[in-house]
Amino acid sequence: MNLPTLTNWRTWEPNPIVVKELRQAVRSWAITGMMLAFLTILFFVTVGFLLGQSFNVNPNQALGRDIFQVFLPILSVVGFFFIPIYVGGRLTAERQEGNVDMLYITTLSPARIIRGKLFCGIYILVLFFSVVAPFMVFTNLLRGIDLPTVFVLLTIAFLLSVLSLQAAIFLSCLPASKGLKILVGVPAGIFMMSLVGMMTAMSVDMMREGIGSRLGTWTFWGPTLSALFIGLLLFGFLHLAAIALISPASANRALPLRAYTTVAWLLTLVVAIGLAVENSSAEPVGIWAGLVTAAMILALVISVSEGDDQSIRIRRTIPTNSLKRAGAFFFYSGSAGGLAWTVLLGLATLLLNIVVFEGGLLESVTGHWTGMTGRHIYHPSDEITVTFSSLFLYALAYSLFGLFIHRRFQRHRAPIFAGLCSVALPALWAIVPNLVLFFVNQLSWDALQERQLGNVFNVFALKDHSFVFDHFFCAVFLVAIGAALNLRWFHRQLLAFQPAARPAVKSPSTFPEQ
Amino acid sequence: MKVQVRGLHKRFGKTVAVDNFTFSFDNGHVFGFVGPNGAGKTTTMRVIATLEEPTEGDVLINGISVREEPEYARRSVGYVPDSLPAHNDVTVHEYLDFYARAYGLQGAKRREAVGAVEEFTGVTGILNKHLKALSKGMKQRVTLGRALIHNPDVLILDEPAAGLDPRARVELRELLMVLATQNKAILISSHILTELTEICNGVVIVERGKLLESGTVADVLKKSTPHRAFAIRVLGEASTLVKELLQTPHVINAREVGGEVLLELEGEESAGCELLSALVGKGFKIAEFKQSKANLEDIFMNVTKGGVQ
Repeated sequence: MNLPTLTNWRTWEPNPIVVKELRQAVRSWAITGMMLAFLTILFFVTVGFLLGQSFNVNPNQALGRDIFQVFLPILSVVGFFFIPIYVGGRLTAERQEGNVDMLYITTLSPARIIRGKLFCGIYILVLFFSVVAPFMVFTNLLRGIDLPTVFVLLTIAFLLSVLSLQAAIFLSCLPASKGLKILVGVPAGIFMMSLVGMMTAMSVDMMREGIGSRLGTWTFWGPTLSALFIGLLLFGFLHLAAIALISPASANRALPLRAYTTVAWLLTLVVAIGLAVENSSAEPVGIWAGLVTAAMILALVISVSEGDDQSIRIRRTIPTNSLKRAGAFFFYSGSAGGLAWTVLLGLATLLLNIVVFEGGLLESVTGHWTGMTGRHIYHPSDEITVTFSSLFLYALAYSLFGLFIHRRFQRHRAPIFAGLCSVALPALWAIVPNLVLFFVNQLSWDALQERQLGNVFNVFALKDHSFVFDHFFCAVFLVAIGAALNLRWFHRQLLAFQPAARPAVKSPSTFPEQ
Repeated sequence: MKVQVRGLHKRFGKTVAVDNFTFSFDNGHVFGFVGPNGAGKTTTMRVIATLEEPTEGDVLINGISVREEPEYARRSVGYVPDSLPAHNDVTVHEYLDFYARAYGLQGAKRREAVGAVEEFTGVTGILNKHLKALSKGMKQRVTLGRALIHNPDVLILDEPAAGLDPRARVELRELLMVLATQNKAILISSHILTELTEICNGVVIVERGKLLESGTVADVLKKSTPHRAFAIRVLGEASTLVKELLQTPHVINAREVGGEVLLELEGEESAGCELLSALVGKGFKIAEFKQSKANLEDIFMNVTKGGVQ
């Protein structure tokens, strides 16, 4: 990162993107107009409340809280919605093919571009927050809200705004058409709006109880730190993913993402086990397993969409040492490596689920830490391991089928076809049989809850939970077929994972770093 | 600095935009890239500029692959696209200053580079004007300045003269001629072939995604027009001369046009001298005998078949 230090502060220069974006932002009618509208709304809300109060005979002892409850959603809309759309929209326009600004053929690294966009957005956020902060602090003087609550809620709103900003930057970098981006952006926008609602609801709860009295307790810091941790992990992932998306296709774009996800997997596991021991409940591990399974299913679709071709540039960096090469296989771009990495992490999750939910890991860890043996640990559900395993295995099977269909029948199409197949196949298998049932007038809620082997969604809606074991065995069977169909391909990919010789032409390393 | 385009293919879905282009140009070369609309010129230029990834093949810029190492290859390339920037919130100086920063120039070096480019492109009088307020000619100068800010060895210009008025065209041509003397490798596409003739010493002709000819103007000329064209003005009856010429060996297609006799002659340069002395020997009063020089327009018309994809 290009930061000023004691030695370079005289020659240090800020990120060019920040300079450019801020120059344009201060002249932008969108920012100026929004700022003026924002100030006007804040002013009229304050005046409205104060005038309303002056006509009341009984003084409102919670006037400050009432005003704050209006200020916070306004600020949240700006932070979660407007600024991310402004920054993301500009980035989307720059990424369009016909754009005349040749920003992406300068020597600016993808990381600097993304950081520049992020810092610019954060700067604008700080601008808006510093405008609203005096108004919000002012509410403290009108009673009904304490200063710590004001600052904590402002901090939460700011952090969520930064996360929304990073999400918008990530969406803008997606290699999709404008239409598809809007299609993805609309649900994202709806989610942001629901975030405003959640923020408001949370603030009502916090203001009623007051945060000041809870600041010294674990009941405040426990959930706060957990949320902060998850938010940070998500932020880091979105940041790295955005950088990977605008990096050249010839670069090993998978490496930072897979390495980050592996570390995040490990960290979240430790935190989940810690929380489970602390609360004497396996629920945090269950939530962790659910989230990891969802992430791994997504990773499977992405992995099979990567394609087989590895650029010479990637192959030149493959280690020559066979042990290191075996490790590198999991972290290098390419469908085979991606699948192997996802399966490895998926199996590790499955194993941990078995150890935690069936093997009594939490009980023994609790006994070891606290010295108390026989302490009861609450387990949320008996079928949690088999349910998540079935879902992962189904996803793996369909991904393998998608890969096979692409390779065997649609080789001329882009690798993303395999990913689309791996999504379309389970969707079709879930819809078509039920459509048939509908046309023969046999479709009922009862029929939907029957055993529909191969239907991923059926796992969530079973009338008899023991049916989930049938799903598990069916998924294992499908994975076996998928693996058999792709075994030779995988073997070829494994053999092809060899370092390429460096050419005799001038190497990039001879260029001075700019 | 050598630019080598090797077996370049670019497909967009089922459309083949570029089908196996192979050509190269070197320092000090100004290559004209000519072809009708949809021939694959812009796509090829975007690949060289690292804006597009080739479907197959590669472009090497001084040995560095634009496919494998685009970040390094682009340090040597300046690209002027066929459309111009029109920001209403950025001034000319800010625009150039930003690109200087983006190319890693810092402090005094950056100020020096920006100043030099502003002076070279002649925009010093409009530094504080917003880009939207500029004329097309001035925008083109600013875009050229942006492409030159990091002093690249290779310059790719896509239709730089399109839409410019005659004066702006002449000024742009003069700037390009100066750049050519600075030993840069320049690839320039244009539909105005007469303009290219004046500055290009090489040509790449493409049509419908296929490369038809490439090389120095002299080489391509030789290949595309194997016969030498002459114009003769004779005192007296021109029709007699036409009759005589049609009976002369190696003379093909002699005809009278506007008081002159136009003919095509097979053979080396000396064949013209021999014909002249033969005609004089036969008593024809030759007032004028000149060889017509073929230009890019002639080459283009000879090589291409017409039509777009």
